[in-house]
Amino acid sequence: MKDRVHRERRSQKSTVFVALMLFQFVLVLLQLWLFVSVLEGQIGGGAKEMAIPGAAVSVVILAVNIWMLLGIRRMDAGE
Amino acid sequence: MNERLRQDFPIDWEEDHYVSRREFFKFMTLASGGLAAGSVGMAAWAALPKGERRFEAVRLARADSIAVGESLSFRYPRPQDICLLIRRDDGSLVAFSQRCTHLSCPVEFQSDKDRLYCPCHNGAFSAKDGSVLQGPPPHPLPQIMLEIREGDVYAVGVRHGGEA
Repeated sequence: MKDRVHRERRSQKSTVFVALMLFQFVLVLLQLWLFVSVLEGQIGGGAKEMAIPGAAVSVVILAVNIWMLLGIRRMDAGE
Repeated sequence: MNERLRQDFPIDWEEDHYVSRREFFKFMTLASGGLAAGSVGMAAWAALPKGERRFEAVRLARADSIAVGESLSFRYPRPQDICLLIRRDDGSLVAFSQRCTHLSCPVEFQSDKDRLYCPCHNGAFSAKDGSVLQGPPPHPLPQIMLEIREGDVYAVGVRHGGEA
């Protein structure tokens, strides 16, 4: 009985994991797209004003990713 | 048979996937960190002032050997950096990088129009200060700083302009 509850809880957590992973994947793709856009702007010689906002958004995405990773670790530790 | 196999190798697949997904999470966060570091580095590089930069002085020619409307090709500061020394109609000597700031085609001096012309995409720069006169170039031409020493022309540095 206890084992079954444990398995169900693990299964629920697994679903949450997949959802978070997909969200993180989209965030990293967005970050990659931003990076390539800013790099293209730099190489092309224009759009220097894109670099600082691009970096700021990238850092915010990193912060969200770290926050999610810490959340996952907390979730693991709470088992 | 399958039941026997499960008994012999009791792998908890749920647990196995759970761990590998966690590893994937860590990897993605690490990738995100790398991209953020790259973006911050690029922003810092973009914010750096790009003005004058002095290099070792290199003798180019006798100042009086270049007639009005003529130009002389040279390489400065590196062997692959092609440049053009020009005597303008008013007698002044100026030098610019010969690479168009659009796609690096070599520009040519047109003395009758007092400009440097890029035939690749119809771009043109002023022979006075290298500023963009027409076409797609996003920046002025980098200007080579010159000094006259005992009748000889020396290249002493490079001055980058701002936006077009």
